Amino acid sequence: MADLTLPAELATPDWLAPTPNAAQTPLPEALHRALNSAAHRERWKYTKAEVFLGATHTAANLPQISGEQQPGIDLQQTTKPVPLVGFDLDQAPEAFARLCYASNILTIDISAPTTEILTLVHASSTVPVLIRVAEGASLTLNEISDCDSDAQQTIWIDLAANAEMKHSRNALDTAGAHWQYLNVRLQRDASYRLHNHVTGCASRRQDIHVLMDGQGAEANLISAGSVEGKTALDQQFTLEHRQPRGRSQQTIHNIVANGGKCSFNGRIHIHAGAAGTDAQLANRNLGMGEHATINTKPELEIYTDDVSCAHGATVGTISQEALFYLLSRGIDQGAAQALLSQGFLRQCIDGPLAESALETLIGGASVGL
Amino acid sequence: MTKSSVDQLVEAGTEYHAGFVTDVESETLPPGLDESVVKYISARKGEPEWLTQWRLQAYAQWQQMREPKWAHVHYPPIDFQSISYYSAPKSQVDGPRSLEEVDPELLRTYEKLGIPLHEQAALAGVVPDPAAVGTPAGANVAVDVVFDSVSIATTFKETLAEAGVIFCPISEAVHSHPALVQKYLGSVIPQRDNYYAALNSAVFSDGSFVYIPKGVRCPMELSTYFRINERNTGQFERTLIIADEGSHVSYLEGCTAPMRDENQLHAAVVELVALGDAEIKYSTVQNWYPGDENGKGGIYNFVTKRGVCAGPRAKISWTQVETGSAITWKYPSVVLRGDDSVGEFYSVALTNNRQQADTGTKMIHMGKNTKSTIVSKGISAGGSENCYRGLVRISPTAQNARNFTQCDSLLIGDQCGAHTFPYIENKNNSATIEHEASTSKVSDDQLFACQQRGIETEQAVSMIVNGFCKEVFRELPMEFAVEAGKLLEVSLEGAVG
Amino acid sequence: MSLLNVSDLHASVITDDQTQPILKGLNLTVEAGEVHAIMGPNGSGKSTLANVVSGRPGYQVDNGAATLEGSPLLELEPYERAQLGVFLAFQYPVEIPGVSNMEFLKASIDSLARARGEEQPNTAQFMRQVRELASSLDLDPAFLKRGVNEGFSGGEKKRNEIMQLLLLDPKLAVLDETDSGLDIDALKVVAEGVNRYRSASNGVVLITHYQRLLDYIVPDFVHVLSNGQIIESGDKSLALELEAKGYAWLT
Repeated sequence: MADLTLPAELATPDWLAPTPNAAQTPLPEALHRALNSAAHRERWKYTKAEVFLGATHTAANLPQISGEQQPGIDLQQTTKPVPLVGFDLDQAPEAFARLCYASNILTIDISAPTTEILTLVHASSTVPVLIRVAEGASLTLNEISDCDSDAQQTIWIDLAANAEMKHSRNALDTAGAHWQYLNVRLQRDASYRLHNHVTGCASRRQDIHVLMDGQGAEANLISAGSVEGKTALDQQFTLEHRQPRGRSQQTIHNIVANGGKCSFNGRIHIHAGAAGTDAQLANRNLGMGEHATINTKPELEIYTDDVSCAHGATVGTISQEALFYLLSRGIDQGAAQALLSQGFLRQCIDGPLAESALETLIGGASVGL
Repeated sequence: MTKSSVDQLVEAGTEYHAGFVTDVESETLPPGLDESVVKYISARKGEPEWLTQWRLQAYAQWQQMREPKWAHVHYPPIDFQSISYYSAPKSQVDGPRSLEEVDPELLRTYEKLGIPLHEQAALAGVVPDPAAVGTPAGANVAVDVVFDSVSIATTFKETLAEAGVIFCPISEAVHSHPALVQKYLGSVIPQRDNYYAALNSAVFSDGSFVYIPKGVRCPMELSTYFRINERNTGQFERTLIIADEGSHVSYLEGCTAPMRDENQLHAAVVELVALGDAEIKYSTVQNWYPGDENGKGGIYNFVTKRGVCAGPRAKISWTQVETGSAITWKYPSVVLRGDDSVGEFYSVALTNNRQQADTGTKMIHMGKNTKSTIVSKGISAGGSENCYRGLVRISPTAQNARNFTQCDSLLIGDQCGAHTFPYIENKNNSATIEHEASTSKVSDDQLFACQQRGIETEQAVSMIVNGFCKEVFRELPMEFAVEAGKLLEVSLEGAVG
Repeated sequence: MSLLNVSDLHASVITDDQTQPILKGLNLTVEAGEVHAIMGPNGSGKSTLANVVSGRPGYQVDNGAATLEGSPLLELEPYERAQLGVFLAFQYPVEIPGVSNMEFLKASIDSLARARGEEQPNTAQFMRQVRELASSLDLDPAFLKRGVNEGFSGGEKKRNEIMQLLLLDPKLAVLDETDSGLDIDALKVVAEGVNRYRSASNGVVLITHYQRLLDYIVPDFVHVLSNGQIIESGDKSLALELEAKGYAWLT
């Protein structure tokens, strides 16, 4: 296998605060090593990394922003040093490369509880975004991808103690090779909730890396996906518990139909010392129609004994029992199957972007009921 | 090492009870590996030309391959030139392997290892009572014993022959049943399947060969006992089991090695072929020397095991209890080619101290209505690392395939690691796959409840662990189940302070 | 023409590797306006009768016929039978997360209306009707937004079945051990619902193991099913006799 290489020469930009690993190894070498590590290859087992890596240096625009005109929000396009605490170059060398190639980044600082929704719309590749929510502050973020060609978006979120964030994300567009990287760090008693609604596109890749970096942090990731026809979706979720008493719950439902290709990797990593952790993951896949490819791997990596940890993954067709219940009430085969597959996704659709997600993912059928 | 020191070692009650050395004269090749070693092994066994060529081909391929690196397994590089690739007790080297000729020193070895009495009697040359044949599992077990590189003795040969069952050292089968060996050797695990399979194909010394004819239910359990005795030797045995249409066999495998400071390599290959309506049940209790509590010494157990359900309604069931070895790397797998065929994997892997285990299975569904079940129980204690790695693959042709996987980890102490990497790859929408995994610990509440009723800590832990493993032990033949339970108890000594 | 006519019905349950005959020549006729109780020991085939009439997968009809108002049932898809007017109240109603009760009921009532060539009911009116029915059966109307039977207690599931019975108003109601697992208060609510449903134009087949339910829903006929056949028929007093003597004296 040929080595993965960076698409263009790269130097540590001035605005980037002291980087992890950079002290020992020059950045390009550190990136090269990370890109070709066994762990990184593993993360790109089912999707070709080259296409995405090769575009990390392409120009980026600002996302369209609304809701920023309210007290407690401060937006900056900056070239000043921004520390990315806890971020691990080895985990996401592509994301790191994008940071380095970017001429600037967008920082959004939340200093107080906010009431209105902050909305980011990506119509193309956008500059890296860093959202910092201060101690006790809160934010509701809507993020919408509306791209029709290749695009990349990278977001870092840092939640201080007791900060709270509700994040809704719709990626329901017909992008080309679309990559969304999301890194969330939670400090003591912070809470984060993500509603992710997604369809397959030519090749969609979602990397979500959550770091439970403070005691008592709580994260909830809920995702509904529909991968139909000649589309692909690759989701790589990593949840690291680094501190005691964190709680995390992940629920991912995907329908894969008629030639779609869906890959999911859910890694829960519980570090030594993260006692009292409660981490749960459920990935369910519903295969419909003729051919489809479904890959899933719910991973556990556990280094402490005082944990409550479970994961499950299923691949299956519609429950025959549920189907018969509907049939016995006079609902015909086609309608019953549609109802059940919609119900399967609807369990994971919620939050302020739910309505448009329902519309796209399940055709908006009987939304009002 | 003198005999008295052997006895002292045994009596000292060291934690690894099979860790003594047998004092027999051996013929051992000097360390090192090249074509001439491969040719020597082949010549020593008087092999036909095709097999010599087959070995050389494997050796050439092995040289082209790179040693695998595994994410969660750590060990210093192996120097393949410092290993001796052939060792045989001298008294066994020449002449026929009749039971009377078995070196009494070897028999004492097996006695110490606790090989069931029937087997000892058989090994000692006592003629089996024909009336006992056909009694339930455990009462009668035919044994093939592999000591370092060669097979020492095979018991109950006549009884088996009456049923048409062939059970003999593979080195013998090469001569007595060349057509069968040539047809099936490497048919499930090709020479270049992986690095260690290639190495084994080049230098395998001995192992067991089993053939069950059409429609025959093997009248007794078959068993092989593997033992590494010589210093600096590797053991590369090769087992080939063929169950012809409609036949049934249950096969047991046990392993031990002396305690030594150096690491020793064990790279076996086991191939199973179940034709239509045949059933193979393969059970392993693996108790290779795990190294001391600081991780010094121990066996590197890098084993390739795979079975193919070649015909309709064939069934292959792997059951393993892994308590030994410094490092275990093995994935007993089933290729479900025949329609309606069934694959099963039941595993207990216990690691303590500095042991590392990376084990699991692969279920490759190709036929229609194929079914697989995976139950894996990992127990980590001390500073060990225990990892389940599995693959369930549903091919486009495998209409209505089903898999159920349950993967549980039990942690004892907070210095160990428990990991789960279950790959699920599905290319057929009619499949039903369920994977569940959980992690738990031996809780203080459970321990206290036991202690409050007067049960001592170690016994309480052992009870809880045995309960945790019950689903797997149930699959073992009775005699092995008892042994496995005891083994866990011994392996856990010192795990709870 | 009888409402339900089952004649010489032989049926088997299909398990993983074999089929096992359960019904062995069952005959039953239900006229409009009648309630028939089917009693019998466990394994006698009571639930199989309900499942075969409603078309549950996993059963195989070996011989015989079943008609609803003269239309043959056994060749039809389950939803076609429902559209003709067969209703099964399930012994173990299934939970369907993600599909709300309201959505499910609307889909059902629309399908039935379509099949009869009727207008689909107005949504607002329909929702009002459902809410009223729900509260009359002591079901919190809030449940209508939740998934079908999701998080329901055993009793709530059974009341939901009865609510559906009243809403869909079928010609024939087959109640499969609707009384099992209910306390006396819930049993009364369920019985009241069934009595409300009873009319001169419909029929009820009440499958039960215990006489208790028949104190609240008084049957016109009681049949004893044993080893796949009806071995005894009578009126309400037969149920009391069974209660007193058990099934052994009949078999």
